[in-house]
Formats: sequence, structure tokens, C-alpha cells
Amino acid sequence: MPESITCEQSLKALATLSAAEIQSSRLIAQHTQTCSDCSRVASVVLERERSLGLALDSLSPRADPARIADTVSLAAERHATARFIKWLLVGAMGATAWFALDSTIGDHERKVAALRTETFPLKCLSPQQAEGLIEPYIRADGHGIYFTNGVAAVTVRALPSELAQAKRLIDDAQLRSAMESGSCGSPTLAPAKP
Amino acid sequence: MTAVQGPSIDTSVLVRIASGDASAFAQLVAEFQPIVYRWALTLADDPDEADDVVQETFLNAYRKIERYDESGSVAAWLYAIARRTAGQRRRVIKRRRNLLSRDSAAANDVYLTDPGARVDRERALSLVRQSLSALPRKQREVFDLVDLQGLTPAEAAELTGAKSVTVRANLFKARAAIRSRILSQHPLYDA
Repeated sequence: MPESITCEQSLKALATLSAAEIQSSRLIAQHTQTCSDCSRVASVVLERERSLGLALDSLSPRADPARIADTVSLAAERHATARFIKWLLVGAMGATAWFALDSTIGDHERKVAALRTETFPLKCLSPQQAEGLIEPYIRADGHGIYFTNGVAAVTVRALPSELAQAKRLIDDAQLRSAMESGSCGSPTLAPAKP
Repeated sequence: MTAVQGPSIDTSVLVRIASGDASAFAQLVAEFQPIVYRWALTLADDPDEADDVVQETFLNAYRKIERYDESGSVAAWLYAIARRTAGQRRRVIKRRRNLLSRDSAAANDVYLTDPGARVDRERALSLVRQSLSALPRKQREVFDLVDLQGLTPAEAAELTGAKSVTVRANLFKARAAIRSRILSQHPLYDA
């Protein structure tokens, strides 16, 4: 432990120690007794910080606390209302988007889900003839008319009402053909579609 | 939780505030407004901003009253809100102006009717500006907490969420910056 400190050491201590540490330091006290320059700056440092603390403590807020409380309550109410309206708008936007999507994608999905598949055996018509006969009536999204080379049948994927219409058309055409030719043998089978 | 200096208040007041009791909130504001303002003076970049920080601090406290943790003091909770509020105000470009207009605040200003008090206030504000405004915010905050409000560096570290070593470093820098002009009057001072 040094017996005494120099001005440089004193200045370093005055720059970094707290006011309380400066006041309680025996070495600084000893040095400032013999060094008027250090004594002066040490006094100013301590006085300045004491004044600063007092100044901060002495400054009181200008606004009336009752007024702050009233205004804050009002602002909080407004904020709550604004938040409620915001969520209401978000909900409305969500509902609108849901309905919009449902009326486009959902509608399509529902139509596709309603499609049924049925195979009609053919006696007097070829699959191509049957296809040409029913094709104008099968219009639903996702519909299909399928047949295979060598098989006297046509498979149709369509709405139930369209399938009923197709069945009626095929039955009528086959009945007419049978009446005209007496009986129906195996229909002429055309080559399958490429 | 750090024991921040401040008035004590029964936590039942906070429960009453949470249940919508306006008089309980008025009680909280009346008790804590001076100390929150005291904090705001160093948390805000400008003492003139302190009134706005106080107002928003109480607004945020009111909105977040349910989040108050009873294991900590009300003062520490409010300090954290004040600190965050001052930071937000700095960051927000388009500031929401204070809900009390400056005119209405001035109408309640006792300093307008007491010239002596006004001079004292201006002198104190001038000293605060002169001493603290040039300091970086973090240095200003720890200097105030430790050297002026009497917290230990460890307590200040806990309160500000910084490492203790960082608090000490900022403290030393703040002291050196504040005192440099005074110390430079010493013939052997070498900055």
C-alpha cells in the first residue's frame, strides 16, 4: 500500500472513483491537503455531482397526476375499442376471403366430389357411337368418357343427372337399333382412340 | 428482484386497477409520478421529453397491469416499463404525441406563477443537460442509477439487463466524461 500518491494518480482516481469513494479515500485526502490543484478539482467534482443529484431530485413533473390518470384511462379505453374494431375488421376480412374461396375453389371441389362413374354395356352401339351420342350431354367439370378396344361397353364419369341422361340415350338408341334390325349382335368395334 | 428506490404501495391497489378502479390508478400515478419523472430525466434523451415518457409509462403500465409479477416491487416493474417506453419513443419515427397537450400541461405549471421556482427549475435543467445530455444513453443511465440514486453496479446490471462488467465499464466512462472538463483545469491533467 503506497504511503502517498502523485497528482497523476490522484487525477486518475478522481476520474474513475465514485464521489463516496473519493470522499472516503485516505490517500486522496492526504494528497489534496498538500496539493492545491488536486484539492480544487476534487472539490469541484464532488460539488458538481452533489448539485447534479440535487438538481435531478428537485425537478418535479409539470403535469397534474390526476389529469394523467384521467387521460391514461381514456386512452386505454380508446385503445381497447380500437383493438376490438381491428379484430372485427380482421374477422370480416377473413370471412370475406373464406366465402370468396369457397365460392370458387369450394364450388369446384363440391362438383367434382358429386361426380359418379358408371359403365354401360353396349349391344347395338359401338363405344364410339355411344360416345358421340352422349358426349354433348356430359358437361360437368372433371367429366370423362372411356372405352377400351374390344370391350362392348362405355364408362362415363359425370353427374348423376348426366349419367341418367346418358343411360336413357344409350337405351333408346339400342332399342331403336334392335327394332330396325330385328336383333343386335355384337356391335362393330372400332379401333380404340390413340 | 432489485430494490429500486421508490414509494411503496399496497399490491391490492394494483388488483383494484386491474379490475377497472380508476381511483386506484389515480393513486398509483400520484404516488409514483415524481420518481418516474426522476428516472425519465435520465432515460430520455432530453429533459423536455421526460414528461412524455412519464405519460406513456403510465399508459403502458395501465395496459399491462395484469402482467405485474407480485414477487417484484412496483417500483422495479415501473422502472422496466419506463426504460422500455423511453427506448420505444426514441425508435419510433412518427411519435405519438403526448395525450396531454403541452398547453394544458403548461396551464397546470406552477412554475409559471412562481418566477423563483421557474428560475430554479431552469437552472437545474441546465445543469442536467450540461452534465448528462452529451453522455451516451447507457452511460447516463448507469451513472444515474449507481452514483446518483445509490444502487450497486450489480443491482443496476440486474435492472438494465446488462452484464455487471459492462455496467462498471459504462460507469467509469461516464464519470470520466462528466469530470473531464473539471479535471482539465488541473495543470497536470492529460486527457
